[in-house]
Amino acid sequence: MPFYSIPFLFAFLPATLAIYWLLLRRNQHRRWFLLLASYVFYGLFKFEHAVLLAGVTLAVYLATRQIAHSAAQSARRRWLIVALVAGLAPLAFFKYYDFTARTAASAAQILGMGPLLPRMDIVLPLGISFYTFQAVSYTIDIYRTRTSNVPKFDRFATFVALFPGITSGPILRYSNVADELEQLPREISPDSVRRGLFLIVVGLAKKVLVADIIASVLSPLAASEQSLQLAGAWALAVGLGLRLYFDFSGYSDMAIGIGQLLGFQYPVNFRAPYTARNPQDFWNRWHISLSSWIRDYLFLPLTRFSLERRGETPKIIVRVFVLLVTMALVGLWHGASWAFVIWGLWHGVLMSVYHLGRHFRLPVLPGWLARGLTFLAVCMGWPLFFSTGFVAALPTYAALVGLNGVETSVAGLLSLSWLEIMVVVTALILVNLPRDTWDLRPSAGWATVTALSALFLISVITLQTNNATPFLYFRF
Amino acid sequence: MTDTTITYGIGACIRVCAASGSVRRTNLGHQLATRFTGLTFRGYNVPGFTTLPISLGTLADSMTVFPIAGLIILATLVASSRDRSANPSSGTQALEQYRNPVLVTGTVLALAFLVSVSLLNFVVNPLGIYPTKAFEPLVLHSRHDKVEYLNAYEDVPDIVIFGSSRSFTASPDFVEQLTGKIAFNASVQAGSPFDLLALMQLMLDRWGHLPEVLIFGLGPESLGFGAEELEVMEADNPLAPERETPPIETARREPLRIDVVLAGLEVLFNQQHIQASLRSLDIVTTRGGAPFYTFDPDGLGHFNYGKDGDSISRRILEQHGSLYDAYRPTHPDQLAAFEQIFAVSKQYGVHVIVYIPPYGPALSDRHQHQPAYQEARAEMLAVLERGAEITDLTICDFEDPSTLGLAIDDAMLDPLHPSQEAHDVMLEQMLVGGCTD
Repeated sequence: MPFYSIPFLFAFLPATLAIYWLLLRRNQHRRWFLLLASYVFYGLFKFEHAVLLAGVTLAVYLATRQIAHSAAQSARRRWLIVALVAGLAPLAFFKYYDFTARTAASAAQILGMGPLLPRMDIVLPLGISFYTFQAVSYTIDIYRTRTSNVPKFDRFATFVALFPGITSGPILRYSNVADELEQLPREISPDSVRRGLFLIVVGLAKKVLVADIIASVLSPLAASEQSLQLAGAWALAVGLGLRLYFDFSGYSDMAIGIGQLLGFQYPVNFRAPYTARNPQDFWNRWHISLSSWIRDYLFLPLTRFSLERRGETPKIIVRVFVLLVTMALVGLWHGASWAFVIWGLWHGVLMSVYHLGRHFRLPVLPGWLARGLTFLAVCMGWPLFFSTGFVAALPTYAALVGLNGVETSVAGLLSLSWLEIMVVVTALILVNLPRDTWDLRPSAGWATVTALSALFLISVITLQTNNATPFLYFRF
Repeated sequence: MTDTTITYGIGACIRVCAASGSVRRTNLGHQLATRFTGLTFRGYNVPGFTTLPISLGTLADSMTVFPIAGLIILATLVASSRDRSANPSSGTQALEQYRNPVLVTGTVLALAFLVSVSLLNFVVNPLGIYPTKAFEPLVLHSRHDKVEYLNAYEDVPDIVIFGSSRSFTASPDFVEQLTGKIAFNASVQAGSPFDLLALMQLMLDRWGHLPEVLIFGLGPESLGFGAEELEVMEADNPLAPERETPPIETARREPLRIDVVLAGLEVLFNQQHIQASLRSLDIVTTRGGAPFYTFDPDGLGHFNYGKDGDSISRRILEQHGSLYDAYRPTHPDQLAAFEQIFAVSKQYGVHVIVYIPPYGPALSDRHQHQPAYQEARAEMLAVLERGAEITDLTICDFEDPSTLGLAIDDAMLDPLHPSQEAHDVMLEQMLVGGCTD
């Protein structure tokens, strides 16, 4: 039951909001109802995965309570390890076991040995990467802050399972919603309602009217990936970048909007990422809830750790090393394949080059050039992100750098209808606007209501007639 | 349109006519062309429009214009929104006054666009699927027209002529003069054995018996495709009740189902429909003239090439000339349909006369150099010979127009379609004697 499905839009969401706001007055009842609704939402994808979610939640919660209630640092550290294992082990197993088995098998083959681990073809539970990071961040925060004030289980369970973000984020920190979970808001302002509806409708439109149409535009190019030439490969790379942005930011807008209607303030996830002027700026604008999580819980601790032990190694080398490791792990978080690792490394290299440039005080590029180069460099990574494997992506990269030749005519490259041309042009304009949806506050009045209603209706009709593709980040 | 794109029978002619801009009734037969040739159908080069690959089958695959309206609203919503960080009350009055009109304009523009599109397609009705009759539809309705005319008869006509557009000009009047019997020309655009079977069923349902004589115009080009390729040849096809119902038909029958309503909206608002409407208007406003062909109530067809005859002939030659560059075996569905036609004819005592209409010399000359054509022709004759073993069947071969004793210009309207005069000669030979049994 994804956000763009008719059952969600016309049954689950209205019913949940109605019960939540109109029928339930007691705080405790509403909280339990929210928890129940979240599990129903998640369980409808696959019941067994809801059981896993409950198990992970309980295990992490109990271990984290022990951290909070332990006075000795050694005990706290021990319980931290228990909590991290409890949280990360399911993710490691479900997401990385087959990858490990495949890699081990390849290595064993090279060494002339038989398979070391049996392949299990495990189905990845939806959203496991997201809720695991959410739960683990809570544990680490408790460990770091040395607080003994642990919320009750229902609050924590609701935080982990809160349905707007459970499938694909934005990744919450407990501090984002602590106050609301403790005392659920009893009323919602017209401004919040307007903004929530605005985000839901605009997010749906971004997904249905832009991302899915771009996907259909790209399908002939993707199908002929092996025989692409220079212009075709770049059209594919840029198109994939546009599609991913409108798909994922559309989803994020909807999640944030739904959260807003429930009275929760989700963190921003996108801030006009394609207007970034350098790779670091890009990651400050792209999938922000993940990049800030990585920064706070991985990059900064790892940097501190490395700097403390760097010896004679120059700081810039340490920084580059940590960047590469961090971004490789970011790639691995996205998917268990070498293609994702290399995609992450590509961004690590981009950021390293940027930092080295700053370190050696190279001249700063003009804004328009910096933006253009950053956009193209980021887009260069997308074919890898979308490919089935590293080797499968190689022909596209050969074409991207001109090794497959240059088209003598681009007339037949993309047989676009005028609608598709309009969509691509609009997409290019929208990604170049300085403000993202999250930064906007819709104006009040009947005009907004009419526009949102019309846009919603148009999106739903298009959804029904064109058949939406699943959200891309459901894979992670 | 590319040279490599080929379609079948009248389809080719229709495309030529469309390319010359003179046609008012057209069926583009996208599926047919694609499956028949294995090549991508490129559509029409119509002055003022780039391509127009329309058929009822492809219509549902075309995108609607809803996303355009949606994008306009999306853009104006973004443009009219404030920065979130700004204090709600900090916007100046002037800015507020600017923002709302932007949103209002965008929304009104988008909705007006949708209303205009729906009105355009509904009023112009280029596909002939709505009740509005202000303009001639662009799609063919030969099956609909012929069935309507046939149903006007009190009893089944004594002699029924059937075939593709190549048999349109066979005159029932002339047949009546020759035989004194009532005749009807039931030929339909790209007529196939499947249509003939459906027509026989229709006559049996209505009158309980079949005509005494069935005259069936047949060429090798009819035999290389299956029933499915023809399933959406024309709108509102009464000869295909068992085939898949086009969405618009379903919408007409079950207007209260949500998915059906959406399917109907999809057709009303889709891009190809708009292109068809615009082309229809273009033809009416800049070219005028009669429809490409019309039917008399007895089914006789009249072609109206106007001043575009030469270009039409050139394009037919260009496209049909390469039809047999490669061998296309007779489709198994066709063989089965022929078997049924012969069996039913025998059961109801129908004398079947199959005739092979002539080709113009230029097209004949091409065929002579195409071994695949000779192979297809031999297969067709073998089918007919097997038919002769089953039922009372006469085969008349008029492929060489010189056998008609007419000047070529009098015998052929173009390289594919014989004239009424040529048909008079052929009918005389078929019905008064002169063909070999």
